[in-house]
Amino acid sequence: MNFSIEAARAIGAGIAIGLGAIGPGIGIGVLGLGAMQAIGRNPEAAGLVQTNMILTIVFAEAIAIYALVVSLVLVFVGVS
Amino acid sequence: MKKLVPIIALIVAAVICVGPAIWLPQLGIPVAFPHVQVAPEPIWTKPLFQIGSFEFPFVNSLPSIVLADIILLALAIAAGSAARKRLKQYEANPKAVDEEGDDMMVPKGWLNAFEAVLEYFYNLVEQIAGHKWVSQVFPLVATIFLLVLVVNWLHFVPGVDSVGIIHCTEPGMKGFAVAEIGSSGVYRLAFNDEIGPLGIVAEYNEEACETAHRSHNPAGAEDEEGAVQPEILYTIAPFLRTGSTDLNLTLGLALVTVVSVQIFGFRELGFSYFAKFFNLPALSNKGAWGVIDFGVSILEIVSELSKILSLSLRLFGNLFAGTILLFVLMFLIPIGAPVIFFLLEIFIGLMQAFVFGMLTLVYIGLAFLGHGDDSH
Repeated sequence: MNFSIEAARAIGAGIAIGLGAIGPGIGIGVLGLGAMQAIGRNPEAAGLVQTNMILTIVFAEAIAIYALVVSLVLVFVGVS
Repeated sequence: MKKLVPIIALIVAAVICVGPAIWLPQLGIPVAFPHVQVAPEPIWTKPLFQIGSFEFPFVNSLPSIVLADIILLALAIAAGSAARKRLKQYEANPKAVDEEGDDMMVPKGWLNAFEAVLEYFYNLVEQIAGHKWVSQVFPLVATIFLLVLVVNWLHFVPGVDSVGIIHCTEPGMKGFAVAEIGSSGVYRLAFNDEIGPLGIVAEYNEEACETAHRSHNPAGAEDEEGAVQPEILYTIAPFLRTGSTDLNLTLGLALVTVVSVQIFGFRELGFSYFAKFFNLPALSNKGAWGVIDFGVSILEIVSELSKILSLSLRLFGNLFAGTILLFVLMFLIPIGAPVIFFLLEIFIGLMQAFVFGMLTLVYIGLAFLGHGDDSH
């Protein structure tokens, strides 16, 4: 096999963050949709909705961050 | 004249944002450099202390966390003494007013900012954990929030992550050439002959580095004619590294959170708290179907352990990714654009600190609830 470890790690890192970002992306989209609809129906509650939306988005984003950690470890932690 | 003011402000802002990126490299002073390492770098050759054969190195996130502690303590003491001073004046004369004509019970300045933050958290804790526990849960939640906030925001202090000790890289790792700035004894890493971080050379021992590299690359040493000299590369270990980009701090905080959740749950519910993990009552009450409940309760242990992982990795990942984002951006677009992302990073630092404190509170609130039908 003429396939270097370096190349495998680069590809693995790309796949990890690429696939890992799909779910949170959809999740944040759904959250935004819900929040916008809520604000549209009840504009007075915009502040409250916004705070909770940001808080929930942070949770969704955390999943992408786990994937990011995996890919960063793949790229930056050397195998010696 | 009035129309000129915004234009002048814009020009000043542009000079502040863009200027350093142009004139600092001209003077040979580095702007930024992507030094990326997941583990914190030791900045002292000797270990801090030793237990058996297990060494605890003096890593660069440690002084940064201590610095954050000192800043937080100083702010807290300043706010506390201001509060006490005003209270004393109020007790001496309830009708006393300060120089602005306000009542002595009206908080001012730092004190006001502190009171606003702490009052917000106090109300939040009272709402979620209940009035009975607020005096014990509130200090934990507020301390975690404030500490994580200061630690996160410390990475906007100039010099953090970019000034440090230059040393030769381990064989096989990435590194850069080194150059002295003038004859000052201060060196910098040369990246693209243009910019690189500042540093003091600790082990400017070419021979030792060369031996290390040669032993790693014996083929280069064997070649006697036209000897391929192993290239000596250097890397930097910053004096200060943002505390949250070290997994040790975030893991420690997560452990404190999860352990204290168990303690609070036990103190509220007594031994019936452990029915959450080993649902023996269901086994005896429900007969055969209780086995399913028992199995589910075992899974609660896994969910409790995964809290440690998710809490620590969320904070670590966000801050570490933010640091790398800033590094990379400084190289792609060194002018102007990083400022916008600094703003984003300030927001993320605040958000992550708030989320960490908030999750601590929510987990404690959940532990108080008890488990399903056993709770009544």
